[in-house]
Amino acid sequence: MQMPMTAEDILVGIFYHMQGEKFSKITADRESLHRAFSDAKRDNPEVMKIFKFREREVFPESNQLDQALSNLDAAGVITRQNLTPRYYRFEKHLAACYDKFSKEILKTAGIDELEMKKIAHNLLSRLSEIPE
Amino acid sequence: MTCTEEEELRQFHRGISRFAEEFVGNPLYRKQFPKNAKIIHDPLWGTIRLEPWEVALLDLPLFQRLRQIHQTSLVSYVFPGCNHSRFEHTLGVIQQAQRLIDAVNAQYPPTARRFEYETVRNLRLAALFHDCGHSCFSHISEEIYRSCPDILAFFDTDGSPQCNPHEVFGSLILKSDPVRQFIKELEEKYKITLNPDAAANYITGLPAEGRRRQRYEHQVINGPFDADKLDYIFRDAHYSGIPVGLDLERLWASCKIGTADGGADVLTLHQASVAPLEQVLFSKVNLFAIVYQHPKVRAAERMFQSIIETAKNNPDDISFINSGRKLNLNRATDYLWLTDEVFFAEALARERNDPLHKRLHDIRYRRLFVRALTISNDTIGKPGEGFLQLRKLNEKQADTYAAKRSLAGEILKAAKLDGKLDPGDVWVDLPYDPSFGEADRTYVHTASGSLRKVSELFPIHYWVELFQKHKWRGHVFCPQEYQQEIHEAAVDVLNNIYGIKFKKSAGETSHVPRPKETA
Repeated sequence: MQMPMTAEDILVGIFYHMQGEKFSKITADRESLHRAFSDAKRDNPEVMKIFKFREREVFPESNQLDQALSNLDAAGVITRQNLTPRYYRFEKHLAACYDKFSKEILKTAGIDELEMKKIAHNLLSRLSEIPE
Repeated sequence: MTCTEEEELRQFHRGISRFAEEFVGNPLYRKQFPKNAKIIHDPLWGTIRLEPWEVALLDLPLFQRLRQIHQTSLVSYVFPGCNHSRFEHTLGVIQQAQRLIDAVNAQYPPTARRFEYETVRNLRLAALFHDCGHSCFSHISEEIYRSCPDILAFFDTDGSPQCNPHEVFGSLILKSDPVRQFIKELEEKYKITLNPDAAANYITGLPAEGRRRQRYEHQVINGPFDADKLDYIFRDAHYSGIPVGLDLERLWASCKIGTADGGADVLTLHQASVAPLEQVLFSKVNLFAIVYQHPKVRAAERMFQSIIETAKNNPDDISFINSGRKLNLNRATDYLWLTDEVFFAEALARERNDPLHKRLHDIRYRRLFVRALTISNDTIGKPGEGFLQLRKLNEKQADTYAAKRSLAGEILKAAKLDGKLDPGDVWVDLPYDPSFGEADRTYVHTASGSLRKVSELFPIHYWVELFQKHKWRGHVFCPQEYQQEIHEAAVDVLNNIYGIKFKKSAGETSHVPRPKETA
């Protein structure tokens, strides 16, 4: 059965490459995440075209990003710790998600792995600061 | 843009014009303009006063058709009181918009009112039009027509992505020639000025020309605690019999204008008034968990989708007709002609031996699909990569819809029920999560006088997300008589494709006679 490419695969790809740079967690601050991904879309419109941003609020917001983070969280790929929900931690399933499904799905969709690595690298500085 | 897309876009705009000509411009349905204001009694908010120009608009078929569209899709088949329509909701939004505006203006001296008379009129105009673009059973048909090629061509070229399709319809209808002409007549008759372009922007949430700084204006219609949200939460809860406690008086008592990061003026609350906003969020999550995502409601909605899917694929065999016009459900704009009444009229027109007669009457007489499998964190062995691949199909995309249909086809094939069931009888249903961004969009005045986001003070959105995560249920639906076969096939297919193992509870929760266990 053909698996469609969704925002979840893009996130898995980005987080997998962040993990490759020895990062295990990112901020869960919604504004920081949405702003960073909106900027990433501006710089990489083709790769990030699945994310659509609503510009009508104080900061750009994407339903696809909200839903994808929620799905990754529900599937235990990323987690937030009770009482300190300020960051998402990458879980051990992340690598399996990438290797078993998302890597091939992204490749079929014409998304280059190097490009994905570059986006992950650029997002690191934006997302690795955990707000107090 | 390809020639096909250009043609689709042309058809899209033509479809809007045609609809507006019939439902606004047709002299057959015109009434005399009223002389006076009117009082309408609403079971929720009491007395609603409407200006004569608003009554003249409400008398148009464009708004009268909203009486024939249920506010909460097919929820009334589970919560019998939920028979309220988009028409009542529209009146409620006008009322709530006015109360919000009055509450803010009351915070300032009369010489420094934040909402001028003309702005108030345009906001009321927006409130009136905000849902006029809805189709049959509200959001359920929207899920289908949002993938039609004509509206996709519009979204590809328009600069306002992320608006809901019905908001796009509402704003375009408001800016259409028949509506502009009608508004011109109202302006002459009642000596008022109305700005349809400004009102259309309030609906889509885009800043009006020269009003970028005044973000609080469109937040009355499109904001974290807007009139639309306050009315639908109260109204849906009231009619479903699950009352909510929202202290609106407290919410409004501290509602003021403040300047957020970036210099935009936004609606703000005082730190001591955050509790009502928390009540809004908890009420919303409760409504999703208890009402909108009730398994039987979701089953009825899939049955509706199955009929629309048949109509799309076989337009010669099944068609819906309004005013003698045969609707083409592969065009988004044709859904504007489809109301709940038009949908069920097809059921009455069909002979008893017609398969579609049965399907339509299965909804009408509530012979609904049953659950063959419950998919959730509680019913699967271990969540992981396969579960993510399945759960992501709840994204609202044309290809995720196709993937769910293909998955249902695989289950039907594995059940070896060819000839007994057809593809429209098996559905994989994976609800999307409601968004809880309100806490990031609401600013509060702290005791020190600074402005901070609600989410910075207390991560309320995290708690409601957590609640939602544990309440989420996906399902496989089918007719009652084949529940066991579809259950067993679904367990096997989801294991083969995604490696998901199911506990016995996946069948037990669905009341399957002999639940299969693979975890």
